[in-house]
Amino acid sequence: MSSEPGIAPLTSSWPSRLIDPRAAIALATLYVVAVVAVPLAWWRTLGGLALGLAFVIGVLGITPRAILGRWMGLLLVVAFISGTAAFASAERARLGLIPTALAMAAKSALAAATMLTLTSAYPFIRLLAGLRGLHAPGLFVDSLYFMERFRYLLVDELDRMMIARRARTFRRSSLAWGLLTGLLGGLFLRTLERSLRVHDAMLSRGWTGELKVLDE
Amino acid sequence: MKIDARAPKASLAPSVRVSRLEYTYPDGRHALRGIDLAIAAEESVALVGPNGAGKSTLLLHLNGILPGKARRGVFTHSHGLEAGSRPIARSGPAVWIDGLPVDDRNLREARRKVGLLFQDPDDQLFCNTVLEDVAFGPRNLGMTADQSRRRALDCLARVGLTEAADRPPHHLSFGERRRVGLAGVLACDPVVLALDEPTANLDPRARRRFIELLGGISGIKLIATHDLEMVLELCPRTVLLDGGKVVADGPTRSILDDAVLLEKHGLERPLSLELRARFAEERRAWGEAPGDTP
Repeated sequence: MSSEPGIAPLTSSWPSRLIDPRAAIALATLYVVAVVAVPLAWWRTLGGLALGLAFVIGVLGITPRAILGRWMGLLLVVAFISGTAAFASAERARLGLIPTALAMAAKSALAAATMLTLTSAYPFIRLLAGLRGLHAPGLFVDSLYFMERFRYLLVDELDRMMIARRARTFRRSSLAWGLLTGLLGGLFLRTLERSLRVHDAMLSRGWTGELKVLDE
Repeated sequence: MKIDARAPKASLAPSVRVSRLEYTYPDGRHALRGIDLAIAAEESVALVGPNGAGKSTLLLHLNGILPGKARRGVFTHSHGLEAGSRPIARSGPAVWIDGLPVDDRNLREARRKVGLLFQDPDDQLFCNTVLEDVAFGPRNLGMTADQSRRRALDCLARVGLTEAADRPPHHLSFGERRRVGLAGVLACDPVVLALDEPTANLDPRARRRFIELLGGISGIKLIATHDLEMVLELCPRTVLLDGGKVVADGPTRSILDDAVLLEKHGLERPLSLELRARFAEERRAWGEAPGDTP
């Protein structure tokens, strides 16, 4: 078990221990901006950037499979964004729809892989400290902070609701849409109630609207 | 039933005073109906009663959380002096802590003075590490990061969880989370410790450990609970609430030994007292028939 909280990093290699998370976030952001700025048909440049990212992944000691596993989870989003953006892009007339969509998919995939590399190399809590250090909007960082804390709790809560449902379901079948939406609605209400209780707990310990942490 | 005459209240000015406190939830449920309560310094008081009696609602009033919601417009409520059966608008506070009225002007200080331990530790522990969570109160009370860290480590040591400082709360057992919650409350250095069902859902060992921890803490303790055996151990005084009213207030032993009163209000005599009563009854029965001894 990792002694540091948050999503367990996939690596603990020397670069991630040596490089401050603020610098890592800034570098990753610059890389994404560079990828986005590359014109669509410049495949060689995109290839060079991809090689650069592969080198970083190798140095960090992250297994490509782990990145790929997480990246696959984003595949639908990447495909949707690329498809819709390619359809609306002015470049479509010059390059054709499919090459435009492929180029956009490649750029989106690189950007997503960069961020996945970043989150794989650092514990989430250090990234949050980095964002705070970079003066990201407090509300945004605080929301991520709470999301990270209560993610496990909500998953537990959903698991319990699923088990309770299964305990009273007497036929083998996949989850009906009606039941699924009911479960999600129930989870939302429970989340809302819990958020009110958490807010009470914060108020009772002097919360004034600003999250003050120890690593400031 | 009031047992005020026997109640061991100090003759000095009370550290916690609640006067004719009324509260109605937004769904119209009248949760508190004219609560009067005075607690002296160093007193440990149990708040017992059936579900929905108003115990938790009363605790939330002690540091001004519930009326605060109404002021922010999240909930509507009535919070006033009762005239006949109609609540009227209150012009002043209904709760005083250490002589300080709990109202808008004093909320910050009132919240520092009253440490509230919530029933569900997952509501209480919202930070990503145990140390961050325990230090949350001191940081909000204006201490520097270093001072807060030291205070948090001290409090974690008090509850025996120093080694858990860097762990995320969701990796702890329920009992450990409860103790971290207590450490977070103690870190604010409260005058009053208000505990909502502190032993609920704990296994016997964790419960015993928590009771011993509470026993070692000085200051005012107000414990809302269904764990009447714990009440017998920790609280010389008990307040019985039902339907938002104080129905009995007096020495723990006399209230918890009154089986009729307890049953009338949805409770039952603790097992230790029940066994003692039965044993005494049997002894009386034997005494009435001398020579029948086995």
